[in-house]
Amino acid sequence: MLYKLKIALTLLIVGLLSGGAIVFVHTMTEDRIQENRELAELEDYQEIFPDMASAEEEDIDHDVIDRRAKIYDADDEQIGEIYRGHDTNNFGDITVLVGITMDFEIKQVLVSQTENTPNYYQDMPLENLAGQATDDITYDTNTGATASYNSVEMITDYAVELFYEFQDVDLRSSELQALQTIYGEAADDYIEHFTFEDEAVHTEYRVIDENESTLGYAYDLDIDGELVMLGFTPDDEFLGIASDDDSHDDLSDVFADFEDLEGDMIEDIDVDALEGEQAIIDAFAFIQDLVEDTERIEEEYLVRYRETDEGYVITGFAEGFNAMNVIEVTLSDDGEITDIELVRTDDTDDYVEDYIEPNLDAFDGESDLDADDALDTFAGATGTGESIVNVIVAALDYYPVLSGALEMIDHDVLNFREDYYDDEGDLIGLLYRGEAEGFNATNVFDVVIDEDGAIYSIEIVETNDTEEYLDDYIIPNLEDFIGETDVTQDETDDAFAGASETGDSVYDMLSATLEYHAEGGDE
Amino acid sequence: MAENKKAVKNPNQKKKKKATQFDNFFKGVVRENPIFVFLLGLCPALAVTNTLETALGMGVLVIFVLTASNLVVSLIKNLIPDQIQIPAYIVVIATFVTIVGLLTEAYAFELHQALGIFIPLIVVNCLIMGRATAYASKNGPFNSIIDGVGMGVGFMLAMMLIGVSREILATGAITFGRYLPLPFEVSLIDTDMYMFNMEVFVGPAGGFIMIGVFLAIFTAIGNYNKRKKAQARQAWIEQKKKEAAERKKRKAMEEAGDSA
Repeated sequence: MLYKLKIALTLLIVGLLSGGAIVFVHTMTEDRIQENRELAELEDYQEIFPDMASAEEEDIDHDVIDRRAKIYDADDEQIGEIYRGHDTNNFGDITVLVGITMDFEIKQVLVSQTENTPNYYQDMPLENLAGQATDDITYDTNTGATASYNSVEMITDYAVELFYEFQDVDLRSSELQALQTIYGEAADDYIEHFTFEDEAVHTEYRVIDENESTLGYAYDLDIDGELVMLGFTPDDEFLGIASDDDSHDDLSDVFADFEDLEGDMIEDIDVDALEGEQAIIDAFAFIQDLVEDTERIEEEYLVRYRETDEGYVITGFAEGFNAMNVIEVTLSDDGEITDIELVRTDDTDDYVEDYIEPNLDAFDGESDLDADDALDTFAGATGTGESIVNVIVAALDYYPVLSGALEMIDHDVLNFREDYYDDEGDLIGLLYRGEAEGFNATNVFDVVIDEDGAIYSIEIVETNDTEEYLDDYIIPNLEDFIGETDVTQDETDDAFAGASETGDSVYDMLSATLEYHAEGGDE
Repeated sequence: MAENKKAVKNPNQKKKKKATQFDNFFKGVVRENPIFVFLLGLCPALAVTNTLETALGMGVLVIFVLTASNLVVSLIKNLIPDQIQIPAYIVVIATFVTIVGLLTEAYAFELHQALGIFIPLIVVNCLIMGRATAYASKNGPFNSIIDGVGMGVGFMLAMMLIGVSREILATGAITFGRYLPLPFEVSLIDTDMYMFNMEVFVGPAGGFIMIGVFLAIFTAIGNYNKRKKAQARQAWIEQKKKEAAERKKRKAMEEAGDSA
């Protein structure tokens, strides 16, 4: 024991003496080091902007960029700005200076300080960035110094973003500008839902608001090199047409020909009778064909489906080895796979022919798939195979929605509901799946409501909250709610005192379920 | 009899007996050169010997760390329990490396920038830990300082030798004053011969090549010395055999004369 104590004490003393020595030297050299760094930085500024006469620095509150320097020439004209950013990659800290001219060009990017391996970071092709326009920077993909270059790329992107912000320049993409003209400011973002090849429109966009709810679907095309967007509601009502820039007077005239169509459903538009820009008429015709007999799906990997006499054909797409693969999964009325077709792929022909196409039939008859097992079917072409498996699994998961067994719910807490049967196969009521914020993360619940509108069962399907608290305070008290038709939480009657945040999530779920159920399914 | 004993003494034994502080210092320079003989500290020898000045700078830093850590290790060796000797020595070495890093950044900023990550990496230089455990932990402070300085100087000279060779082969010139805190910058050598402009010697590949060349030279010299020693020893043995034969002959003649 004494020996161990001696060891501990010795190490403590050695550590203390070492720490003391380092602190002493650090205190002695701190100011000088700071001075050296600032001097070096000024030299770096000069290297980026050789015409620099003075610099005006300001600190920035940002995760990556901590300093902005306005650079002035001898006539006191601002010639550019330099942003200083820091990152820590696998090889240590790196500080990068990004110089941007007032003409929105990268002047120069240089590494001012780093712990990264010199022989690597010194060979990075940073000179390639000089002279590039800030709105279209091309980074080298093969630098030989991946970690350092990734840091440079990230810092440069942030520097450009801040530069735009300081210059008060619209950072919205062309697509978003056009979409906001149609959908208004509510259009917060968009998802590239599907891309078409050699068709009258290029991409189908799902336009979403800040809560990620769908505002509608839009399609883009080019007219004389300008982006033109056609917007529709989720029910395919035509909302309008716009370009990314209102200053295109010639396009405004073109769009005027189609103003009368606003408010019409796509299927009601008589395309043959339309007059005006042929590219837009072709786009209307294409969209009409596209949405005819099909319904859209807002699920990952899935785009739309159509009903057939035998069942459903679900179209989806997922990232393959080279680009997006488009896959069609045909399901029978019973939810079994009857056909899988790789509609479009840019993956390597040999691999697709050898490892993918011969194995697509292997899933016929399946109604439930394990993604990992399914991937083995395509061993040899994993990238392409994974994209196909993702779509197949998503399609099978979506089948209950198509068959009506499962109803998706657009609600803050609830996700879906489905019929619930007991072990004897008797219908009990409806099972609601929902999620609510717990102590550590979101908790997922299954709540069954019986035919009388009372709680039949409660199950915590997924949780990251502390097991001990769940066992002690939550699970034993869940039974108190069985049979209840109304749940209210107040301080004097809190069944979950001791694990309040997890308890709150249970109350949120139960009250949302009962309220939704009582209202007959309308939020 | 005493004279005979002195005459037959092995020359190697004679040398060992006469080992001095001078020998202690110089053993690190040539006979036990860390880089060319013990192959220790090869990482900086490859990485920062692209110029004479960075090689010299790294050499100086290593001398400081090696000497200071040798001194401290020799002073505390009896206070540290055996079980934690290595961790304690590592802490000592890391402390001096941190100090040297701070001092370099404060007073030789360009050198600090040029050496970069290789300053903190001095802490894993086998030479320093090797001398701390093999020498300083078994000898007194004075001898440890001499050993540290000697080994450090040997390391620095080897680095400089590689550095000067690489720089001249890569650039055709030797410049001085760019990285070290000197008030001037001069070209010590400027051959202006572009045939020397061999870029390979700027990178690590050049470091490998140069170290290989010097290792070959040092090994050749070592082998030559060994051969010479073996020959001398053989000659000495022959001489002794001859003397013994003569003694035997003389004794036999004396015995024959006596009996006659």
